[in-house]
Amino acid sequence: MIVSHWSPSGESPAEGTIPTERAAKAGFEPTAVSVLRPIPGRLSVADLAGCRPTDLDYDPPSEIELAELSRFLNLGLANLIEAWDDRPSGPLRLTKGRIRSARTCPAQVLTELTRGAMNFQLAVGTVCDLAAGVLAVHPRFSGADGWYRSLSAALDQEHPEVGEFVDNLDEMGREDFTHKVDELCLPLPDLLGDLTALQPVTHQRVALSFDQPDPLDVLLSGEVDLTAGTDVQVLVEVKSGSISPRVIDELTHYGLIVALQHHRRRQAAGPDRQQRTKPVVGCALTLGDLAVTPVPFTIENLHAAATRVLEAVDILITIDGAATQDLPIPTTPGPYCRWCPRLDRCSAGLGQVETEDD
Amino acid sequence: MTDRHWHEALTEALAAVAMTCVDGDPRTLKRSEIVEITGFDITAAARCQAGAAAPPEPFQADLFTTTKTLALRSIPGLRRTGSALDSVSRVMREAQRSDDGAADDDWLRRFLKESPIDVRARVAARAAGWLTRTLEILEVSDLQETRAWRTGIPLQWDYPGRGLRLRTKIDLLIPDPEHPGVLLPIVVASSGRVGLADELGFLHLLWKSTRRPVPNPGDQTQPTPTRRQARSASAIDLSQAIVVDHRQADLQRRSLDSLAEQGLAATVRAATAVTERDRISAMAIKPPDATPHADGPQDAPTGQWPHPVLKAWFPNYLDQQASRFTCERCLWNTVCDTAATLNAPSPIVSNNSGNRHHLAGPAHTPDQGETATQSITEQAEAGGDMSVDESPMIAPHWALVGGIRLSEPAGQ
Ligand code: SF4
Ligand code: SF4
Repeated sequence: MIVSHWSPSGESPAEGTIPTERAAKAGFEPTAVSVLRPIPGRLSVADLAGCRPTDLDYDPPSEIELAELSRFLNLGLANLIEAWDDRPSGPLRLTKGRIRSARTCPAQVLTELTRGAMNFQLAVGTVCDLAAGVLAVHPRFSGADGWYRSLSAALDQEHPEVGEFVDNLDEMGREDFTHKVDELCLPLPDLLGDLTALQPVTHQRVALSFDQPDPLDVLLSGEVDLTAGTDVQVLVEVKSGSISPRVIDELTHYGLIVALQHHRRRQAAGPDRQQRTKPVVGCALTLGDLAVTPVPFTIENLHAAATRVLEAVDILITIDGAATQDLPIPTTPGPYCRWCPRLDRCSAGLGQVETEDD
Repeated sequence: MTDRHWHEALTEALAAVAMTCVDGDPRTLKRSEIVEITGFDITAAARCQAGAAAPPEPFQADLFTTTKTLALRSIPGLRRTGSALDSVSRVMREAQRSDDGAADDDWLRRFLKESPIDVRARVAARAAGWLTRTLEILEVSDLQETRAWRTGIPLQWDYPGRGLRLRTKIDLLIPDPEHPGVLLPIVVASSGRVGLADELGFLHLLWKSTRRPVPNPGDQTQPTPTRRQARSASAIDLSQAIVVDHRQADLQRRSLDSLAEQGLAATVRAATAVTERDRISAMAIKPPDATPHADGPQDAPTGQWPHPVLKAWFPNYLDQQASRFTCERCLWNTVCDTAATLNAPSPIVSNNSGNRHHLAGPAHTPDQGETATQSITEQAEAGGDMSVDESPMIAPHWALVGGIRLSEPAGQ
């Protein structure tokens, strides 16, 4: 029996959320950030992907609950979009990163203007993620010569920006980098287990569009690091850091997309068709604390993810309005400012860092 | 409309483009003399005609270009191996073992043979993922069902008497569960649905124009089906297709009959872009009447747009381009790059370090199907300031990113 390793407490308020009148009219309240209660365990991704639906100790959402969730999201989006005067053309894209930035600090969304900038942490994470993608189909792949070197040809094709970043480091920086990558990737084979018989799919792009009423033109999208499983479908998020509410929220964003995709397919198939879609479960593989944490996609968690989407849309509409009128964009400085790529241009962030340093 | 009508409709619609191609029977011309319009061009032109007219990148086998071919080649092995990953691995092992002679004329084998192990593992992961996802969405529970699947059926249509060829491939055909004995085409939309209707229309149009055997082989105005087409034609129904969307995880049965007209328009659009691409690259080698403007853009009289030099070289070029681009930033970049290729001064202000100063903002993601928020022509109509000196043609101070406008507020 697999135990659910965390549960949302609903106690702490969302970081940086700015509830607006539009949100109230759209019919939702800002959510609380999920709080984790991790239980240490020795579990591999393959263990989880190999389990049967009956091994899960929580009830996956029922069809009625999913229909209700779908209506809630659709209606909330429709209300927000309807009140968005002067909307530019093109689909409104909601990725996990955008939702996170918008809710953390609206001005952080401006970092999308300079997307593509690499940093140490991001480069390390990219290599670890690629290593997991290789090990998923080739569990005996060895990074004995150094993981970075062993993966350099694939990195060159898939993420040339990592190589450029590493080339520009000084010798000590490069050593630090390769050392960090090796340290994090070493336990990866054990944490993943052998997935070859469990239908692994790496870097699967997922999306959910909203076509009603008269295309809303909103697209929830993302790329799942790894999915696997024959009787259940496990969505895996590989992180070089430790387990945190943020990781859980990101995974649940994927959970929301996939659960609603399955729901739509079952609806389209009609009642007399066999239901072939598998139950979906999340799994955070965090190399910083060597943890494999199952994340159940209960209706409550999915509902919280849908509310985060609506909050983010509300904030994005505010940002769009500010940009067109050349008005300042709200900032909600916090401890994350230190790592914000926009810090050097942001007086609020610089003030925050200064206060912390004092 | 009968198939004959579609053949004639194609001939008529492509007449202007065909006139710019080599005179001669495509069956006797050298391949290098024939302008080929492929399914890839159709999708590219549907996304953005300017993109399709951009200089072609030479084909390169890499992780991205090999995925689908490897996945399709692994289909026949599914029944025996019992899994997508095992079937892909088998094809890869065979490639490894093949002697050099066999590998030489097969780009996929050569790529697999020459690539290091990390690249091979990534190709395997991508191809197996593509297959797994396709099987999952088609709800194939028993791999024995794949016995009747067919892959890679070519379709080709030659313009009568001119070096212009249309060609594509039906990636995958599977038995229609509702009509035993009939094979239906599967079109996998692995990166979004933009251009999908054009692609389906093109497929249908080619099918309609080529599937009938030629009644009079001496008549060059008749289409020529390949032998393989003729053999498989009876079992295939291209009046509909099943669209498998990897991202949205869904499946749709689409009727294609109504898309032939759209396919015709898409073909003309793509053919125009491809022939223009050739024309522009020819000009880049020897610009007509090239008198490079040595003093740079600063000399351009203010308020003159497009830049006089560019305007002289490309009559109507900018007007045409403005209506084709789907994002404004790329209009500027391309005009600028074209000017640079031709050694002309950039119409966009250069900064001191010599870098061109394009519109700020991240690169546009073509497959999101974004459209220009305010085209150059609209700006002009709105009476915007088009002078060169003060942020001249760069009207919006924001960039459109993922459906919202973003700009760095001054002094925040
Ligand atoms: S530095 Fe802090 S306040 Fe400024 S944009 Fe970044 S997160 Fe927001
Ligand atoms: S980036 Fe967009 S607008 Fe620019 S050429 Fe490509 S598709 Fe066209």
